Amino acid sequence: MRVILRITSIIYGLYFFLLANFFFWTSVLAFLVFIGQRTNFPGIFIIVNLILGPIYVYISILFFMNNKKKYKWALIFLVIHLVITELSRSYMNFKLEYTDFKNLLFFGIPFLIVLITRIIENKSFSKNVAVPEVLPNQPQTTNKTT
Amino acid sequence: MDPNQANPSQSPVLNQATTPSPQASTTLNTAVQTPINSQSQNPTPVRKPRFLNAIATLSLISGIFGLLGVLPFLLLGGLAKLDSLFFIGIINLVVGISNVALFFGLRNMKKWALYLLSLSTFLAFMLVIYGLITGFGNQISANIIALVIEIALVIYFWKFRKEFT
Repeated sequence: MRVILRITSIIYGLYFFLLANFFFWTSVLAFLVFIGQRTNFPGIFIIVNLILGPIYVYISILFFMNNKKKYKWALIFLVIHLVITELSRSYMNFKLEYTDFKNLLFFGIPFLIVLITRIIENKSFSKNVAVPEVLPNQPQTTNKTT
Repeated sequence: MDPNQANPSQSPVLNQATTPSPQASTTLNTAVQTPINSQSQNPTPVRKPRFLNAIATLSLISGIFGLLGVLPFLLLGGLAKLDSLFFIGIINLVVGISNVALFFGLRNMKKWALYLLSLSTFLAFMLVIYGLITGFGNQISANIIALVIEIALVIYFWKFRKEFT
């Protein structure tokens, strides 16, 4: 189980690394495209993606290093990204469109998968807690005194 | 009779070892607990260099942006079959990973992080010298100022080398 969880954390690390590159470089390209135009400039999307791209890289590093906080960071920032995207979309137009559903799937499916993995990891490690047979101040160490 | 099973009445030493007297157990408890209590009451303070966290955070940021630059170079170099771009991508990958490792190492006061910082400073020094000789790169003066600051910081950190574990 430990090996499977390690492999899944590496896969999540790769996923977040690709996600970070996708958001960062698409927002850089979008910035270069829209900077010369006076039409609807989706500044909020670009800024949010530019900020969240490096954060996703940090999350991928946490996954590669198997840090304890990896799931928490991933879940929090996936929710933050979805909320900001939906809020900015609802600010621009109040209609609920197919894009909103796609956004929900895009962030919701990874969120659920990471959440399920977190639950599985917590359950598996809570079962495998080693109970010490001999407590520290018990007769095992009396050999030193005698 | 199993030879491994010792008779308590025939082996006084074993008997003492397995069933200690209450006095012995109390003396042992105090002997075990004393250093722990003394450590918790008087912990030896770890002296941290002043700019350690700032340098660690800066190395993390540079590592993250270095890693963000890896994939485009690798993809472009691989698709267009340009070895130089691919090589830049590999260099970015190595530098990014080492910078991120430097962040975790410096934050936990690891000795290898100090060596890694010294190595990266030495490589930057060599690059600046190479730039001065051949005219490679631009903003040489800015690089020299940055290098001087970095060398000063490394010398400052080396004064705390005993604190690094």
